[in-house]
Amino acid sequence: MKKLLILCLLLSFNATALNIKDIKFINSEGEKVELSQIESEIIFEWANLECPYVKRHYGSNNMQATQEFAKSKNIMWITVISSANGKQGYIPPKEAMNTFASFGSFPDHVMIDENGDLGKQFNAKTTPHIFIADKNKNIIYQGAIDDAGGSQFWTTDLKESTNFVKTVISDIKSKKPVSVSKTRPYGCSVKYG
Amino acid sequence: MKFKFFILISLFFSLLTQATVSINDSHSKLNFYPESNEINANSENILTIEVIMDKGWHTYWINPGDSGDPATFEWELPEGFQITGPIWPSPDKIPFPPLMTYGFDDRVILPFILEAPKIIPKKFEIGLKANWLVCKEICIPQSGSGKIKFPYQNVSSLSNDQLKEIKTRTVQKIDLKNFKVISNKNLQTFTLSFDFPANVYESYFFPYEYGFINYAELQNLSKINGSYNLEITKPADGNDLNLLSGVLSIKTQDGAFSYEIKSDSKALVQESNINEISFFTALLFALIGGLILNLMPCVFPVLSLKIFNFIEKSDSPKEVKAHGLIFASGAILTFLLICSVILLFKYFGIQVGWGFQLQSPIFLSLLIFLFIFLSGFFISSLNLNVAFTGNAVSSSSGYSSSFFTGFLAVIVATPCTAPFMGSALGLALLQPSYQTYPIFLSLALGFCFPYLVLSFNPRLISFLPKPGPWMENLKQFMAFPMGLTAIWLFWILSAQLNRFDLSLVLVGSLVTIFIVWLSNLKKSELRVLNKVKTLLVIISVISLAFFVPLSTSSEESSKVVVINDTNDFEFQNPTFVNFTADWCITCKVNEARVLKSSKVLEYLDSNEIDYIIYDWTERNENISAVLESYGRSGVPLYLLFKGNGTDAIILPEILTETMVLNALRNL
Repeated sequence: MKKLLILCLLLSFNATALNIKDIKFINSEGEKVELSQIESEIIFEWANLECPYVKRHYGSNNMQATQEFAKSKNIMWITVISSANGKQGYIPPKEAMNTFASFGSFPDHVMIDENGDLGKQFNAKTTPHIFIADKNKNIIYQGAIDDAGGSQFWTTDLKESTNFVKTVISDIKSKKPVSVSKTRPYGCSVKYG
Repeated sequence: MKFKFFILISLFFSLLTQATVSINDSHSKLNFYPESNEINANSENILTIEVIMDKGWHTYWINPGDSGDPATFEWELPEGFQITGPIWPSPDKIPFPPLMTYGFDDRVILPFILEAPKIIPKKFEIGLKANWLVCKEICIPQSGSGKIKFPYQNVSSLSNDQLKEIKTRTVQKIDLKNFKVISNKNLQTFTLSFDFPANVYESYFFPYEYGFINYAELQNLSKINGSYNLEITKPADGNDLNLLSGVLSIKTQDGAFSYEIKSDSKALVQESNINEISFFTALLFALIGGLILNLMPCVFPVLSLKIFNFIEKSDSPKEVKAHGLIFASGAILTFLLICSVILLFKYFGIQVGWGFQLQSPIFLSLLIFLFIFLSGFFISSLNLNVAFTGNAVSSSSGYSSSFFTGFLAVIVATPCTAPFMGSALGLALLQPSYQTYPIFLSLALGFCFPYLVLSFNPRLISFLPKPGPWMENLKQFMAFPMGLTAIWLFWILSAQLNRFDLSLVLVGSLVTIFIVWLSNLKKSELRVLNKVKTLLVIISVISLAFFVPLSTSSEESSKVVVINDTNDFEFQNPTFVNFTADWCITCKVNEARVLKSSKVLEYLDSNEIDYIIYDWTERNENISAVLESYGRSGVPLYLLFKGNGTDAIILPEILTETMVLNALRNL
């Protein structure tokens, strides 16, 4: 009984850190993705290709370059669209991979999360909004892609901003604790239904 | 003549075009208003920018909340000039569930301060490049640039409408009276506490920076001891509250006000004193409370049965162990069930606490029937198995009865609050549910502890008296405390019901006795008679439902002192406040032993200390709210006010005469 009590306590305290091991979803191609089956680290990108912030990151090739960097380090990239059907940014699942490919973006999976379940599980607030999970599927970084957010966004050269995603990837690969774990996400609101 | 006329016309047109400098974009325009035609040298001048959006569109505040970005302005100034701003006005909440943003609908007026040098040129230009984001469902960045020429041609003074907008949104930089930031230990919240001369009906805190609050969570305003308390949820790893800054908006009947909260006053953050016990202390207190609960008069008779059971089976340690475990699981499950029910109530926004069931006449009447039944059962020769499961197997097995005894013991324990339990459960109910359950579990474990110890150490049982006829006699005697409990519950009920409904409950009690009598009849040789007996029992049990009053129907106005407005919970005179309920034994004992003692009464009287009783026998939202504000979920609660609106001193749950007198003397 005592053990049970201690177990209960441990569980309850762990509830604050987000572990995504148990999350499963169907990707845009209709395949089942179980995060527990994925061995590598995972980067989640919340997107909405009609949102001006996302447009700017794609238009300047900043998002694609970040994705390439992640893939060169063998980290999985999952792009999620939580726009409800009929709201800005929604893409029918069948068109998703091609649409991203036309932007030069090749995520491992695209998830069309039209009922917003995945977005709400992660507490995704903006597009873009980035979450990085380590190999144990604990979220080790959440927030903005870079420090360009805020008032100067429209006038900053995104290539000169500090890319937090790249920083975290470098930390992971040099087996250091992450130097940044949480930043303010910036962008459009996720268009939940 | 013609020529002159032409000049006049062109002058007129140039005036028109100069009236305002505007920057237009797809969904909004930006207007520029200087304060006067001339800029004053060596002083501060006010320049105002107004962003007017298409209907239904909004733009963001300096902290946009969950998404969006504030507008930015880049100025091109002649040498020696300096500009600061915008001075952000107080924003509105613009919710997009599940997200929350801060900004301005339709339009916003942003003042800037231009500092001019000692010598300024006769003619000069100020260049402006602006970027601002407007959103409706979707967001569209807007931008543009323009030049403002001085001396300005035609200042159009701001309209009354614009002036009113500026006035209501201006953030005042004066300190609110008694402003405090209170970090609530153990809770995912902090509280902004302040005094305000007018009646505040709504308040909201907009932080300047990211990472201090969860934007989408509600902020709860309450008034306690004359101060307003705004409870705000922080993120799991929120920033240091010492760095908190932002705008506190206050709405009253007379209009809206906003005040700047600055980060530089480090002394502001205080630890909350209401939840002083930590989660682990609460666990320990709950354990001790559960242990003591066993000795409460309503619980003890039922539990004595369990001990008899142990004694009878002392020769078979294995069985004793099994029964002990099953009894414990019955009790623990019942505690967790009660916990779930309370959390469910809480989820639906109904404030309840330990013992809340006793405010329901339905539950009370059912408890009365139960206690009458138990009383009859104790005095008769029935055993629990027969009584509750209809199963005449000898008591050597009957695990279901052990389970049921556990359940029953907890149900009869619900009217009681043992020492230590109050503060532990008070904390438990303020916590998120993953902490409420462990505290209830700890209470349950404390409650079962003696039986678990007994059942795992059968040798201990040998210290108890040997089985014998004394057990039967004692069991029968237990009918009397049970009957007394029923009478006590009836007395509580009498405050909630009129005479007619009370009589119905009495009839129901008589039917209960009838059921006991029926069950107690010897088995007849005629099968038909046995069937009739069973049928009668079933009919009687069903008929009990008709004797349960469905709602309160109090006849006389009771002695309840009503808290009409929890916002007014303060006292000008020295006051002793007693929160009590008829069903709270601890309260009644304290009142009989201490509060009604001549010494205490005399002291109160001779020192002109007011004595106020709040009666929680019936459910009362306002009293619940006040109790909660002191970290309690139930009665008793004793508060001592010095008067003049100062904070209360909280006295312990169990009072002694000396303790109360000392506390009163220290006022």
